[in-house]
Formats: sequence, C-alpha cells, structure tokens
Amino acid sequence: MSTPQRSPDGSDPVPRYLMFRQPPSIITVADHNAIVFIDVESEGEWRIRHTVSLDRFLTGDPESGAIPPPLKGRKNAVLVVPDYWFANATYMFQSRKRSLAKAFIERKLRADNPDLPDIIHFFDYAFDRTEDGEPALIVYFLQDPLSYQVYEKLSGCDLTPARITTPAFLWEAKLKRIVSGFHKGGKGLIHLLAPECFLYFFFRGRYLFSRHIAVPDHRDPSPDVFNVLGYEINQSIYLFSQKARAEIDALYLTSSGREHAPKLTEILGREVQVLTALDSASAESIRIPGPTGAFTPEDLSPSGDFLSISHRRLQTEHEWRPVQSAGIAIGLILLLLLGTEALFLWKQARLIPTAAVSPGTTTEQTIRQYNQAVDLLLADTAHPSPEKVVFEIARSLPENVFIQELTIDVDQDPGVDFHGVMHVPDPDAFRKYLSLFVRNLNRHIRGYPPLRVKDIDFSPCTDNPDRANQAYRISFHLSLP
Amino acid sequence: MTDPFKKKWVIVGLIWSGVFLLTGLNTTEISRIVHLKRTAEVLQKDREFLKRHHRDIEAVLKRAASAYQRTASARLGLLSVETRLRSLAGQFGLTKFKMESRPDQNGESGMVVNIFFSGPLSGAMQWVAALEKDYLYLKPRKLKMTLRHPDGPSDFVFSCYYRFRPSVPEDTG
Repeated sequence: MSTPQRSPDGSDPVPRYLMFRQPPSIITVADHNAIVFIDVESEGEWRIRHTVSLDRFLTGDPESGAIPPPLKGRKNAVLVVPDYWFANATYMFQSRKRSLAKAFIERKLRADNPDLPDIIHFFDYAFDRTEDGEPALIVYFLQDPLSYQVYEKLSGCDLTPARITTPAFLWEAKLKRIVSGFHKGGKGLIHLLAPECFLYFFFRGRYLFSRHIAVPDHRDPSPDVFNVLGYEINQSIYLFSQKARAEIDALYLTSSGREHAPKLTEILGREVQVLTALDSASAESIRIPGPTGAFTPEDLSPSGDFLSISHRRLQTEHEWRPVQSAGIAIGLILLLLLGTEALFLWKQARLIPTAAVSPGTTTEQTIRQYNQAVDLLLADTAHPSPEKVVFEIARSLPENVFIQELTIDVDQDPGVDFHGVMHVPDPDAFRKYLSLFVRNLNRHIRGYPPLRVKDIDFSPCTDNPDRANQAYRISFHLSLP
Repeated sequence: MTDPFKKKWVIVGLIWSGVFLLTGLNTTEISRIVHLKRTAEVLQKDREFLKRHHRDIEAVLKRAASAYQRTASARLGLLSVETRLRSLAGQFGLTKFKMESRPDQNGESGMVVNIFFSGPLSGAMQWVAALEKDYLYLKPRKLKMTLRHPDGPSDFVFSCYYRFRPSVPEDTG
C-alpha cells in the first residue's frame, strides 16, 4: 500500500507512488445505473475509490467531481460493462487469414450497424466451426450506444480502458479454471443476488448468452419467488436448447444462501450444484455492486485470460509493445557493446605513436631512390647483351658457315638479323648443316619463338669462287625475349 | 507528442540510430587503425631494411647513379666519352673510330650515339664488353657488324643511348 505524503507546505497529500513509480491501475465497473472506480493498489488488494451515477458521469464535467483527481492519469486496466452492452454473432467464413477476417468483420459490422460508426474499432473474433463443421467466425462487439458514450467519456478523462469485458466473459474464464469438463457440452450458471438474478449459459466452454431477471428478494420465504425464478430458468434452458441444439449438462449456482440450491433443484427437477470453490474467494471480495461483485482481483487482473475487446488502436499498440520493448532492450545492449568497442578502438588508436606512422623524409626518400635504382638496373639487365649474343651465335656456327652481316637489336624490339654464307659439297650436306646450325642456335640462344629451318631464307651464290663446293646465302631473323 | 506509444517508437528509433551510427563510426575507426598499423608496420620494415642492408642499398644506389653521367652539358659529356672510348678502342686494335650523336626522339634516354669502328671481331667484342661493364650510362641499343672476309677486319656500328644528368654548376663567386 502506498502511504500519502504531505507536500512541503503541508497542504496536499502526495501519494508516494507518484514520486517513485508508475501509478497503480484502476478497474472501472459500469452498469445501467452507476460507474464504480476501483483502486488496485497492489496484487490482491483493491478498494472502491469512487462511485458515481452513470447519468452524472456522462453529463457532468470531469472537473465537477465525477472523477476524483487522484484517479486522473491512472491506467484504466479493465472496464466491466453489462452483458447486454455486448453482442456476438457467427459468420460463415472460409479463410483463416487474420487480415481477411478483420476486413470482412469490419465490413459486416458497418453494414449491420450503420448507426454505430465506431463499431469497427471495438470487436474481437475467434475462428470456429459450425455444427456442420463449416469454418466460421465468432465475433464479439459492443452493440449498445451507451458503451461508446462511456468509452468516450473515460477517454476524455484520460482513463481510456485497456480492456472491455463483461461478467459473462469473466465467468467463462473463471469456470474454465474451477469446473472440470467445462469445455464439454452445455453448462448453466445461476448467479443469485438480492434483487436480481443473472443466468449465464455456455456451450463447449464458450459463452453463449446470458439473462438478467429481476426477482423479488429471494430472502423472502415465500415459495413464489423461487417459482418465478424456476419458470425463468426453464425458459432460458429451452432457449439454450434452441440455440445450441443441445441440452444443459450441469447447472451451477452461486448465491448467499445455502438453502437455495435444494430449493431450485426441487423446482427445476434437475440437480443444481453449488460452486463451492467460490466461497473462500468471494469472502475476500469487496462489495462491488451487481454481478461483478462475485469476482476477485485475480479474476479481474489486467493480464487475465478472460475474453475482452480493446480499441483496435490499443490492440495494435498492445501487439507492438513486445516489439518495442525488445527493440529498446536489444538496442541498448548493442549500444553498450558498441560503445565499449568504440572506447576500446579509441584507446587502440591512441596506442599507435604518431612517429610510427609518419614517414621520415630520409627513409621515404631513400626507399624511393632505392626502388627507382632497382627498377633501372632491372630494366637494363632485362635486355640481352650484344656481346653475349655475338658469342652465342659464334658458338652455334658450323665450321662451313661464315657471317657476312649481323645486326643485334637489344632496344625496343630485341632480335638478330643474320646474313651469311654456307659452303657445302652438295644439297644434302646443306640441309644437314642448316639443321645443325638451327639446332645449335636454339640450344645457345633462347629465341622467341625458337628458330625453325623453314624460317631461314637461302639462295645459291652465283659468284662462288670455290669450284669444289657449292655456296648458299642464308639469312634469318630471330626474335629475342 | 503525448502518446506514450509514439514516444516509445521515437526512443526505439533514437536508440537504433545510435546503434547504426556507432556501427559506422566503429567500422571507420577499425579501418583507420588497420591502415595505421599497416603503415607503421611497413615503415618499420622499411627502417629495418634500410638498417640491415644499408651497404647493399648504397651499392645499388651508387650503381644506379653511375647509369647517368653527371655533366655540365651533353656536348661536354659526349666529348669526354668519345675520348675515353677512342682510347679504349685503340687498346683493342680497333681503328677508324668515329662517333655521331643525336637527341633521342622519345626524349627518355638522353642522346642516341652511334659509334663506327673497324677491326678484328675479338677486339670489337672485348671493347663492347668493357663498355657494358664500365660505362653504364651508355645503354646498348644496337650492334651491327659487317664482315668482309672471315679472317680480315670487320666494320662495326655500335649504337647506344647516352644517359646524362646536368650537374649543378659550381659557384665561381
């Protein structure tokens, strides 16, 4: 529990939670007469903060006392409205895509309720199947215009309800927990209060319909009261069989009197079971007027699994909230890691001395000069030496070949131009020595490409003074690498 | 902006902008550090290389320097070269020594020098070998030899580039 503190001037008490943490949430319960604001201080603790008539709440100025100041700005976790403010409908729908289903429902609701333009913002649905096994949609929506007025008014007071539900939906969730086999067959619940009685009917674990019966005070010993009640319950059971095409399996009763169950069992001619599991919980409950009084803070917990609807915008926000939270958490972790990395890198960069990365003039100049010198010397040595080429050609010459003219180019297009004379006794010897010459040349000089016999031009000498031998002029070009 | 939902999106956006900004900054910083380290490493290696091989480097630089003759002008340089080569040719029994020069058309290697001489093949080759060894600023280009008789003297044309660099004139006051 938070303890109010006084402000420095000692005038206004300031709740401690306003200073240190998020204000606790509230729950609002509305019926056709009044609206009740319930403070949820902490888990399991709640109290009625304010009750105001519905008329005054809807027509009055928020500043006029319809809502007490401490409630403004608090998170309105749940709004409980009468069952009849809600309606449900079943539509045949083949697809199981949520986007298609939403668009279909909006279109249907808009067409069926032209006087409620906001109805498309207040619905929920579930995929289901009909008795014939056909895919269908069960749609829950706010059908009473009063519900929209209450919502608007609450929103105007900064108390927009996060979830809107009804006692019937709360009972559905509660009975699922305390009644075994609730999801099978038909079940009925009689909630007997002093001036009224609420009947709830469920089929296969899902809320089907409810009824509100105004009865005389059941504490009246007159048997007429229970006869009236029995008649109404039988009518409702008949309606259930019409709607569900099934019979009620079990009837449960919650009331303040232990003698009511036997009486109703006798009148209805079927067993009416008392919900004993509620006894202890109900004892802890505060006195919320109307059917909501049967529920505990746990039943109305904002995170409870009861059926409810929210404004579509809020629902979207609710769906995106985990993404936002995860985004913030992951982003912060990454920021931390990256910040640490940035710090580490900054220190690393500082560790590198400036002198180590600024080239000294002498070093740089010497290296550059050295590189240029090496390039120059390599370029010079890459060219063949004329003296060596002459020597290799001389080594390759057969004894009967004489050089007449030899040009060795070692510059742009390195190569050898050879002109000479070969003295041979006959053409066979010419061929033989020519091959020998070519072989020797290729062995001693790495031509590019290697020289072949057919690359050599030759012609007989006409002015040969040697009568014993024949003379042939030979010439060729050999490219050097 | 009063909607907490929108505020939260703004917070998410700001946080993730920070994440992307820091990622970019860190990436840039990593590249810079890698570059600095690599530069430091290269420079360190350069310094070590210079320290360890300073004798070899000096020799290479000296040899490369000898690939260009320092001379006040090309004409003066060529005059001294001709004198020395003529003397060298005489040592190897080469005659009819004549030298012509013209600027290199490409302008990269200074001057083109054509040297004409006659003599025995062995003497000519020794002369060419001596020139290749000791006159690095004369880069061989072409050698043409015409042999009139196997045992007689031959005519040679040795073409080379004359590489020179103008020397700084001495201050004569």
